[in-house]
Amino acid sequence: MTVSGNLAEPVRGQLDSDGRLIAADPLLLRLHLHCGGYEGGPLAVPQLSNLCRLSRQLNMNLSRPVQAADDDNLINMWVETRLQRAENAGNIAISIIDWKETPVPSNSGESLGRQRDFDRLNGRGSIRTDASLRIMALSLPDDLDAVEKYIGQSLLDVVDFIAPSKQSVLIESISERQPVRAQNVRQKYGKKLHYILSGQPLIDNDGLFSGYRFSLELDENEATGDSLDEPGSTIPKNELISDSLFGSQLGPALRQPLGKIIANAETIGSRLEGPLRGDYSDYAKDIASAGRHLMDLVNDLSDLEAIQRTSFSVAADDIDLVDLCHRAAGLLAVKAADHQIRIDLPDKDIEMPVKGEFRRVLQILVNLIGNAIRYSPDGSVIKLQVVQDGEYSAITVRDQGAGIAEDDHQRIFEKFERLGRSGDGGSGLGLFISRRLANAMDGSLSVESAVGKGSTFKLSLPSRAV
Amino acid sequence: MDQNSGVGLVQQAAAISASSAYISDDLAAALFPKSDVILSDRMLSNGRQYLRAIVQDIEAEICLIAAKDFGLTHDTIIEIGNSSRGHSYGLLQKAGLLESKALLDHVFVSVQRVELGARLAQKISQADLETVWTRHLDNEDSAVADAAMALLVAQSRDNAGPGSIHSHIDNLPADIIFALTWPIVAALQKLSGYDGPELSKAAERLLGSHDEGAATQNRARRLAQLVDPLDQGSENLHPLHDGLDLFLARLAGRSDLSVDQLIRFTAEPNMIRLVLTMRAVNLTTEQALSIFGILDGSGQLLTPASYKDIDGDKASDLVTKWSGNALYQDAQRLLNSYDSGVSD
Repeated sequence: MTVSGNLAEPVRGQLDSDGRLIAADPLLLRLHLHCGGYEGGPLAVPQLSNLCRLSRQLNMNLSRPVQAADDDNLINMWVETRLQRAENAGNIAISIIDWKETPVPSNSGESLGRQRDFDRLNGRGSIRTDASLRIMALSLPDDLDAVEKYIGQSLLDVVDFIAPSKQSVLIESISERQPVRAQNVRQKYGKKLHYILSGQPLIDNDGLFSGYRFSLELDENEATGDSLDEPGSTIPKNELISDSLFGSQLGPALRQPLGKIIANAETIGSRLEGPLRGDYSDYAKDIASAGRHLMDLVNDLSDLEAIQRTSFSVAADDIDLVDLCHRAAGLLAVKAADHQIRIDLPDKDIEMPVKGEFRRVLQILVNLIGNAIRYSPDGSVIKLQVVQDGEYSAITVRDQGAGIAEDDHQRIFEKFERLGRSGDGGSGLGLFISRRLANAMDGSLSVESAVGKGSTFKLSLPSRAV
Repeated sequence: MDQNSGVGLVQQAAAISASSAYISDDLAAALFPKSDVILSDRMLSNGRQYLRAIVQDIEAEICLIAAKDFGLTHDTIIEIGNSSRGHSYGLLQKAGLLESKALLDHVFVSVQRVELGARLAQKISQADLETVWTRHLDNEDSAVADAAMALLVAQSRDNAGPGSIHSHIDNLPADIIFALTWPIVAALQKLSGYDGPELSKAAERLLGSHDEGAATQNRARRLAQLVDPLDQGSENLHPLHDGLDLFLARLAGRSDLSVDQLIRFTAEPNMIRLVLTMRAVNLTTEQALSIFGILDGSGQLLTPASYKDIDGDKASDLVTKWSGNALYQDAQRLLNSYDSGVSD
């Protein structure tokens, strides 16, 4: 259970003159029990107990912050002690007016929502089930409606297993409380998208099995596999990437080892496994950084291949441009902070409903803001604004970078065009892919810029009536 | 010279004779300071003024409670209660009852806090300062908004007080007011010649009604506790963004040090320990330089190179050490100095 900050009523408790907890609200009692106390026994939360002891010693009421740990959470409390008079003389009333539980800070520091956005951007989703595989929470990439349809249903009722994976393998793993690895599944209803399903069993505080947490990775190759174009009819001969090179072979083959390299290098770099010489830690961070660049390139090439298929299509989700630009900026907040760049966003209260695929629009915005951060001077401001443009709604991303000469305005949207830049981690595919994605959603992506005056990229999408 | 003034001079001479035995002590303290902190005349003057003010506030409060709540009608007590100058201060000072380490530490921190406030006021306009104070009032989390309002009220109370020293009893930590109240009761009894139970009862009532949560520093700590987890980015941790009290409380929360320790760091030469603390909590170079520039009063410069050269892990280890038990650290320091004395 997580309690966030504001308490309508304080959490109360009472100690007798011997320091025994003789009355307590459920939250306080839970903490007391988790700290090894028992009902009616001495207050077992050391920080609270010390405060009460000092209060008694001074014969004064105190009001101080207290921090305690409970399972995976840190609890920040603001505690007031009140010495009781008259018939309860000797007792101390505890009143906790703030009670804020936060997960023990992780090294990633990413909030859950932000992590979800990363997952969506990367085509990943998650499902949390109870012990009988009933879906308790889920987030599926490319299917925003899934939440309403699937919550409460059994996992086995909403996905089919695709050969070579078998439902029996899943059942067997679950009966033995074992992790589930890389099973090919497809949604039974709705968009019938293909996913690769993996899962870990969850064990609760009492050591009992309490369900599974599954992760789903969109299997893009399979997702479009039903309608793949006729062989040889899709990609012109002069295209760099052949039809199947990335989608079915290189992409998956590269992502998995790259993912492991990045994860392990980050683990080493952040010294999670123990102390390490400073320069070795820096090498590991360099490896992780290079791995991420390679992963970006693999993703770009996969996208490039996908959007060049004639069968490529995007969903027309009901999305809001303002919401998406806040999410995209949230994903890049750390990168921007590293360069002391402020991202100026439109007011959250503004609504700009459009038709477009959630993940793809997020991808375009991340690309545009990421480019703006990459090519802006440190300490500058990137301004995002939404504008109504006839039947279209648009978002502009304006930076204070060096700007782009007018002759280059079209060139930057070409494949592998870097305008002579190198070594900054870009692949030269981002804008090409973004424009193709915008066009596929019946929208457009354009640029206005002049040398020395910054650049403004404008993404327009069809407006949606609310 | 009449008879009476002759008696006065004789008494004066006797008093001077008694006190002159301590000249060497005063000179030794001035010549051989044990800390690296330089106490300016202004700090000493402010410290004396602050201590006088809190002693006077407490004695007046005790006398008023004794008269109003317990019906004490003793003339001297009523006069002290209504007086605008301190009476027991001189007595307490001569008896050495104001020399406790905890009390003097508190006085030093309070005076330095005022000094820091004055330095900040030179870098930010009053209008901007007010914007900073009201930043969290409209927060959608009502706990944050309430805590922000409580801090704003406390800061307004501090500013409305006479002079530049925040001497209001509400700002005193529980242990300090407790440690001062009982000697003041004894001094009042001696001054008035009245030793009935009313003064003690009044002191108990004063202590019983003291609300630690009303202190500005505590209100800032409460707001910091609510705000900081939501605002973990380091870019906003700055006195110009938070105001002095909230900034110190947030930095204290992140470093596990106390606000008093941080304030002491700002009085030390080159604020070295504050710089290490900023490094330990990973403040960016630009931010650390800016904060240093605002809080420093000695005209020293922190260069980007010297800040970047600090090993973050070592800084973190040191800060962890400083955040440990104060008694343990004091004992360690004393034992080390004893050791070095022996070896000499």
